[in-house]
Amino acid sequence: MTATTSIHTIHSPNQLSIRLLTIDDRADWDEFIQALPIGCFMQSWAWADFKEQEGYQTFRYGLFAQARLVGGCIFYYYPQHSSANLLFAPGAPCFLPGFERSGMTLLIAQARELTAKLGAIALRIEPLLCQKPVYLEGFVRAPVELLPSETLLIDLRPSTAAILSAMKPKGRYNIRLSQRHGVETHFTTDAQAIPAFYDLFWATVQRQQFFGEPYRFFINLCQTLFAANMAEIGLATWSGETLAAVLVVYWGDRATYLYGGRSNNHAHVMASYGLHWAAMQRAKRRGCGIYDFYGYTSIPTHNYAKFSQFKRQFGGTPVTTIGAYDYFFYDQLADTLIGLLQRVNPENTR
Amino acid sequence: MPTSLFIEQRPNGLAFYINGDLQFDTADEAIYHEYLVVPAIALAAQRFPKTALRVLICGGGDGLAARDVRRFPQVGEITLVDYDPDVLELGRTVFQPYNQGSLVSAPDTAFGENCLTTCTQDAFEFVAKLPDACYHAVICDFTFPTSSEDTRVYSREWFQQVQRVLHPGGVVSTNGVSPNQRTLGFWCLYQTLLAAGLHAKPLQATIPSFCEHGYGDWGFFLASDVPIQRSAIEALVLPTGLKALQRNSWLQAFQIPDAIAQHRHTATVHSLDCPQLFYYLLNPRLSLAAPLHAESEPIDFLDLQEPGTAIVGTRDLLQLDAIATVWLEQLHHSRQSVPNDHTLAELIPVQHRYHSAAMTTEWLSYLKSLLEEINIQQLLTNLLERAQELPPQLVRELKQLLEKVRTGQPLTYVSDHTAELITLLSVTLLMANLTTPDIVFAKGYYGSSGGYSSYDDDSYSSGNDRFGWLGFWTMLIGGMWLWSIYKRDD
Repeated sequence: MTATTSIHTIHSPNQLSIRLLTIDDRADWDEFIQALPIGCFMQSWAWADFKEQEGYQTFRYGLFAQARLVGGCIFYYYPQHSSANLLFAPGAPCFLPGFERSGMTLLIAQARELTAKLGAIALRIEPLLCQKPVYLEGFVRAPVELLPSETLLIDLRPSTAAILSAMKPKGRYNIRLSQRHGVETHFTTDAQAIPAFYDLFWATVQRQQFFGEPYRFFINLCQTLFAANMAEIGLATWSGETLAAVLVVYWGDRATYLYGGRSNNHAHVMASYGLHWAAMQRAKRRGCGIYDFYGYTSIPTHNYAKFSQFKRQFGGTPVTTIGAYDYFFYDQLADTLIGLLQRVNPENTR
Repeated sequence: MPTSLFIEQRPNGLAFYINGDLQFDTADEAIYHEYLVVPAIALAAQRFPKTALRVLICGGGDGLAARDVRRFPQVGEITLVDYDPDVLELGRTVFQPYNQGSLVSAPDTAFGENCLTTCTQDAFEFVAKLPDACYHAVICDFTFPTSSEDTRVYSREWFQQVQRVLHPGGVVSTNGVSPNQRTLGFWCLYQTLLAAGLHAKPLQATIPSFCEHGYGDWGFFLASDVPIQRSAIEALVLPTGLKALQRNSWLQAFQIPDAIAQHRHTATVHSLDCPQLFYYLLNPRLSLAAPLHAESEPIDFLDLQEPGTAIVGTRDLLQLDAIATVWLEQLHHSRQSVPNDHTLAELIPVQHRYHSAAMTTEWLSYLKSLLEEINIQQLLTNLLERAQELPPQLVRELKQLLEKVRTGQPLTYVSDHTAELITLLSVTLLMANLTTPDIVFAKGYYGSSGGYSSYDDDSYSSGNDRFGWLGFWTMLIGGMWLWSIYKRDD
């Protein structure tokens, strides 16, 4: 459900106002988020639509100074049986400089109103900032992230030759090896590529033993983002066999390698190297300045270590953002606990 | 929730998904639809001879069930009700080569034109407004539930409504769930049908495309208010041209391996007041004492006429209240007993279809971090502002605790009341995180686990005592939590 029907406006003392965005605001909102260096695809209109397909409710708020959009946040909420829940906002909130503090005050007030209505106890946010800003006072570090807080970014602005030369020798070598073997790549927004992508993704999930999203997740994800021209599936084939797949999301200046996988077969042709290199070149042609490997670690014992080793061969710069933070609404938390105490009646459990 | 539809083109057909769940693959959909439809209509035809049968199809907007209903010349009228107009449109267009135009054409039958009416409406609402005894057969062809709300059309109240609109002796056939993958969910449906006053016969069939998707063998139920006898089933006259139902072998579908069948008395009835089915579907193997071996000796349900247990659940095990109750029980009794799989599933149940027990259970390791997020002084202040709503003893203890926190006095004792409050706080924080699907898939933990998490399988690990000390541990967590607050204040 998009809460776009009941539009109401709250004004702050300095005339900053907040209101629910409507479909008419979509272009302005997307343009605003894409233009920000910290603008995240999870704050795009299409991503919110995708999450609605997944059963979430979204609450899309814009902050306005006069009539100018100066900030905002898409809140996500998953309605469940339990009366304890979270409101969360990956890659948000976002503000133009100068509107952070007043904007945050309005967003927290709005979140407080929402949580009271929905039964949530806290707001979890994760702006893509490298230092915790002052306006996040009252927020505490969450135990888990909404996004990978450490990632590896490839600068796509230099020439192709310069990008290649900035890679590790092994990365360059394997890319050329895949070319010599004749690995072919192609990118598509045809949903019929989802099964081929998912087969390789799932093979990788099973091989690497990590938690992977189910097929239905990718059906919803691809159908929504493809329609918005926001994502593509890239496939690498060799001798007629699909050996590697990536799902790349394009948003603003950034192309993000969101998901991928590779076959166990014919590892010697280095299909994954050829595919990522093709994805980088394609992103560059689309005007992106950054290829985001979306998840990276330099810690050898970390669960990301194995695929970070692979990503490292492409060069790039590790970037660490502040991670997720929680803002507890203690009146809501107290309300939930008191309700539980009254209903569960601990005296009867003895 | 919006519905997503996806058609996967295949070299010789297609596969159709609703919300990412496979509905049918044209390579083998005949198995599903023939087992769902043919026995029910054949039995209705046997019981109501020389009658123009009236058949209601609930769901089935793809037209494939309607195709198999139309195999019977005895059928005079079909009503198909499906809430999704897009699926119905596909049934009239893209799926027409596979459903043989069942939603558009009107072939002649023994009773003249076979009249089909389609309604775009919620089936429960539609059936609730029907008069009594107006159909001879009802086919329930619903999607696999993806939310608790979806399970309404599998509830006792639903089947009571279905029975009401059937003529006495009328037949209902319903899509079930997998007997081997969702065993308690399957038997929950069985008990629910029995509780609705129907005599139910379970069937199972192997559908290769379902197995490829990990859904397991598939189950169905054939039911009626009049007992279904083996002799009647053996005497059924099947139509010609069937692809899957073989005259000589289909009766084996009523045989369920004993390892699965023995659990049929364990599941509780699914009702609107106290939903159970979705919990069973999300937590499929809980409390199964014996491992499931499909090779075990089967029980032939054609030889079995049995009453249901009529045991209705006392609490919705996905609700915070129910989970909190289990935690408190564990807190008070854990010293005497080690929690089994059943208790573990109730302590920290899977809340979403994307999650597994391993993913959910892993969150116990974040409990300390979750508690450390809490500003105890703030929380105690908020609680004491509503002191009149709390037990007096707890208020006194919370006031003492607040005073100690304020003045930095050492904490030497956690009373039972306070321990209970900490327990409720713990379960509240855990559930707040677990109810949000994306949070459980959280990326890049900064805590001890780190990164994508590994998994073992879809079941709880039993036989070790990782959680045996949960009650004491919860107390300990409370102590550690408070201790860390003091440390922070220092």
